[in-house]
Amino acid sequence: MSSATETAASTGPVRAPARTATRPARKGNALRRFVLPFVVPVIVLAIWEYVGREQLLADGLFPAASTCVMALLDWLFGWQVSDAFTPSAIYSGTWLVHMGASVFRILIGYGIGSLLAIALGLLSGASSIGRSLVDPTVSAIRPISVTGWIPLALLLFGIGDSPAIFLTALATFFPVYVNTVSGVRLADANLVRAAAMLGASKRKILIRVTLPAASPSIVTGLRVASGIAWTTVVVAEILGAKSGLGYVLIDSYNQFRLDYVIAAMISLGACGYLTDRLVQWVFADSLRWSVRGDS
Amino acid sequence: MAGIVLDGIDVEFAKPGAKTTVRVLDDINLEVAGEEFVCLLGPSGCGKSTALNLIAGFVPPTRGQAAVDGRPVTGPGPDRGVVFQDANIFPWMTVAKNVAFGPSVQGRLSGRELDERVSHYLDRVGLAGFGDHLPHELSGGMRQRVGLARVLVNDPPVLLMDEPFGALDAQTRITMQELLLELWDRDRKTVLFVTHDIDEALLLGDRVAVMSARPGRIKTVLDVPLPRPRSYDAMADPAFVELKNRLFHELRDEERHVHTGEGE
Ligand SMILES: Nc1ncnc2c1ncn2[C@@H]1O[C@H](COP(=O)(O)OP(=O)(O)OP(=O)(O)O)[C@@H](O)[C@H]1O
Ligand SMILES: [Mg+2]
Repeated sequence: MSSATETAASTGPVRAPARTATRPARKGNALRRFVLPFVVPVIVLAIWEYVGREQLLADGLFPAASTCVMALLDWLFGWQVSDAFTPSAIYSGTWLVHMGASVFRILIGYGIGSLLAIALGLLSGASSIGRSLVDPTVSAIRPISVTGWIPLALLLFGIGDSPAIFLTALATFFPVYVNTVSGVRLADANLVRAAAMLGASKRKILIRVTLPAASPSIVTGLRVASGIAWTTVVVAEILGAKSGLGYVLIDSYNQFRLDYVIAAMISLGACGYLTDRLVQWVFADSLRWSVRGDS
Repeated sequence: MAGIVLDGIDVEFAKPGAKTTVRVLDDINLEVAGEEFVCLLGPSGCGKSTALNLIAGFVPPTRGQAAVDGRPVTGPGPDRGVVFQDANIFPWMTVAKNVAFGPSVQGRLSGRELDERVSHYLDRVGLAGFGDHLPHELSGGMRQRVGLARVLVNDPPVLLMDEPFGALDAQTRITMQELLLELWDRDRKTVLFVTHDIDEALLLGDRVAVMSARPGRIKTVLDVPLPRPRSYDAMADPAFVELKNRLFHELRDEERHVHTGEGE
């Protein structure tokens, strides 16, 4: 409210206090919700469009916003609006194929990485032997950034799906592992006691009590990992693949097609956002109990 | 006929940060006969929960031995059902899943048989129709009923209850006490019931064991010769009032020790 009224008030500073007092609250809310969020994007888009059309940046290679949208439509559906405006590219109509290639690598890498992380995290969080066995190795490898693994991954796995899957699995492992371990350690010890008292074996306690008790924390790890998975797969595709959104990104750059580069960036943003929502949605129902946090 | 025997029990805990230990229980000797209802009464912090956790198998003794039904306690097990102060039911499971947990993890029952047993016990604690609810949708008293039902479904010969009604409002507490009395009258079990409420101890117990403040010792054991079945009206009985007076003075002495900082 206050920021909305201040903006309006700047046109008539003298009368401002009186107007603030009499203006109904809903008007300010509508301004804040439907006008203010669009101010900055519209200005940025306008400048972008202008700079692109006048060819002011990067020796005229930097494309206008509308050109990028045309490129995205061409890539998505093969719609080529005007040859002069956006010359057809070799990627015309192939968006789904490349998106599918990236998603495939992410699914496999993310699946392997996070399943392994949950299993080892449970082991390490719930038993001191497991912790001594697993934790030192993980802690030693964790500080090596994923990008540092790229040359080794390319050497070991060649070009294609495998290095991208390997790197994605590696990158998603750590956040899921760390969150699983802390979730298990912070799991209510009294619930474990209750389960033992009711006749559950150690193994049953781990699966039926410790795992669900740690699940809010594990899901946090899975969400963080889903973002990292997209980052990793793009880097892997830039350096060692012949398909995928990351590959199109770098190949378009090599062909000076910055409209396609930006279309790829937009695609990555949309995919990352949707993945996060998907992870959240998949686990929302199973975490309904933890929303209010009392037992 | 499963009785509880505590024989010369000491429990010491490591002091956090220091190398020394604190003695919480000191030479505890207590016998609870099979199907007897004994209340353990004592000031806050005297070690009542520790004594109960020891019998449950959650905490090992530093010295001495606890035995249930003639067998030494080595760890928790379904022959000793524990009802906790804060219910401590599994928050991600529905009420019915919570109650089914014991028989299902032991692989004793499944399918229709299990469902029937679960709804029978939900009925007995007054939760018929709440099987599909999640714990956070229930009141404190209802959660305690779930905590009771999930233990009763295992049909343990021994019930260990740690201030199970301590967090409830007065009216709900009375309802729960009468429910417990009714369940116990129909289906006798050996019960050790921890409380710091004198009325509750006298209303429920065959005997009341009073503990002293740190280190916890059994100070006195009183018989409660009030007729059964009991209800809340028993509190008007002159014998009740007299016992209450005696316990009040016993406890007040102990509370004084706590507040004058005796010990450390
Ligand atoms: N795991 C532990 N480690 C260290 N000290 C402990 C531990 N458990 C209990 N104690 C200490 O032992 C003493 C007795 O605790 P206990 O919980 O048995 O008391 P209580 O009689 O049940 O008290 P209340 O009526 O408040 O529940 C307390 O001083 C407590 O700080
Ligand atoms: Mg206690």
